[in-house]
Amino acid sequence: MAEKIQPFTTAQRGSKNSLMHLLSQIWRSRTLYLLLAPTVIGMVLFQYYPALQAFWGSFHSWDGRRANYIGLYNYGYFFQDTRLIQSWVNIVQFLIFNILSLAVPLFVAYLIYRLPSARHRYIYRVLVVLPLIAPGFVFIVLWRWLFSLNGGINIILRAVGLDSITRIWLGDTSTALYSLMFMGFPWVDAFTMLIFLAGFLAIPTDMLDAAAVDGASIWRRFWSIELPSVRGQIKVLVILTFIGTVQDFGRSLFMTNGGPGWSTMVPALRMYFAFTQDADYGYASAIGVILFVIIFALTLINQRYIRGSEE
Amino acid sequence: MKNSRLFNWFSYTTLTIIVALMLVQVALLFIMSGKDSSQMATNPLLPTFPFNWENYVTAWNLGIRDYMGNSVILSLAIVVGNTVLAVVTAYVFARYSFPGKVLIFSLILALMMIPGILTLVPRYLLVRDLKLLNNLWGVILPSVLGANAFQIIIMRTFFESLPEELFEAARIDGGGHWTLLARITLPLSLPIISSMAILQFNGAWNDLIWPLLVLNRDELRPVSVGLVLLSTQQGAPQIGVQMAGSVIASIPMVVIFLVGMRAFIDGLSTGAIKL
Repeated sequence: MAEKIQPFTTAQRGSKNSLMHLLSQIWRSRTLYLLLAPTVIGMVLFQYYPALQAFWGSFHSWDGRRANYIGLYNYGYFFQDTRLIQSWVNIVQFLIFNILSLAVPLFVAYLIYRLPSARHRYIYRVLVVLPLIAPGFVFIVLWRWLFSLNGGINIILRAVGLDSITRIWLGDTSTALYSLMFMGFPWVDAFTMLIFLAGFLAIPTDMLDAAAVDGASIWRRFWSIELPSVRGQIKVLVILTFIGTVQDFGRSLFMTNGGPGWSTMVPALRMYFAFTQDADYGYASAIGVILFVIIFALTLINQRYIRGSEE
Repeated sequence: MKNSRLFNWFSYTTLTIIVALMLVQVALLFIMSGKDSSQMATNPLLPTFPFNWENYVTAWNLGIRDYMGNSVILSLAIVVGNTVLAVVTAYVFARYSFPGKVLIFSLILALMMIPGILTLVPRYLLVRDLKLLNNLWGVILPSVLGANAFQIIIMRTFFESLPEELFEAARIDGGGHWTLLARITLPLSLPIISSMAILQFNGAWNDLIWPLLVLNRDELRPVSVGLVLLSTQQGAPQIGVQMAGSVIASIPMVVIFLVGMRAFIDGLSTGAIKL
């Protein structure tokens, strides 16, 4: 076991014995391959194989056992289903809302970063992270009650004399979608906040000192130094939020089951229903592929954009 | 850097209000968990006395006991399995050269581009064909073997930053792979490994969709699925009992926070800079 692994140098490749050399290097690295084997096998089995199978399935009428090739039928069906327009309208609204609401953790991180004492910065950081002790699914239970007829929100509205707007918030087509957005109130995700905060705290102090010498106002300093310093974090979080939102259907599923009507339906939930209720695995795969293409395209655009701006 | 007093006043007030709005929701869970139905009807939002601890007993006996046991098994198995695999994988990539290294690592990197929604249906069929439906392994295996690319990448970056001299010295002393990993890499990387593990535990504990699909039998369900289904079913228990169940479901994260919060926040912040 004590053999030393030689660095794999390209200079040796040109020699006549290059093939033998390569094979001997592979043989010498056998322990390493053995160590990587579980990860590689698992990755192929549980990620790459299912991903390819999803593409394959999307061109088939597939009940999970037998499959018949039907070309682009599933895709055609998806784009012709006019009811699904509602789900696209909904997901776009979710995307806009979730991305804009990143401003709240950004704002909180900025305020914490500007606090005059390190001790207070630490305390507020802990306080923002503290609500993570209650797991996310617990808030499904809590908010279902808050939105109900005799739930917390209506109680508060009645107490301040706004009886007229009380309603079953999740049961009303005009409010169900916005209720789901309101659910995370005040929309401070701890992870997001910590990432922004780390970005702010990494700003070199001499830059800020120079700004102070020049007499820059808080406002000016924020827009010219501090906000541009976390541009990388903003980009990453926007893309992560985009990817997460396109895929997420848990909120619609567990809060409203996509309803009332289709008022909280999103494409990913339509996929889930095609899968679990209709056992139409080909159609579900086609929706999965469409969502993948959307995510993939946006990530590529984003990467090109990031690279372009940093060169 | 001095702020104006007005700005400081504004900061403290705003932060306190926002934090209070977040914490009041957590407090509400606990307050409501002690209410019987009449207290719920008359005063649902403020603390009421007596505090009905019976709600906890009721919730526990309604199935939360089994759910909690399942969640603990699932989450621990996923965290341990994932961490071991990620550490070994990241270590091999960080400290050794071997033919195919770039190719294999690219395959791991490319995993970040495969969204869970794409693989959901075939992954379910795979687990079905492996005869792992209604089996805790049906949740554990895909999660552990699905390779957590993010974790591997963060750990590889960290392991690469460890000074080569330490490894050189150990090799001269005759140390093999195992010595280098267990005696040098692990002790120096405990903070980053534990914060990754906490992140993973949080994710596993919160997971809803996959266990809902794979585990149909009630006695196998984790607390995430069990509690949500309990609260949405026909004839759901009264709110106080649901909230008592919610509080019970929060206990592991409370414990983790008490023990490892500092490591968690610090680890996450250092990881975050790399973004």
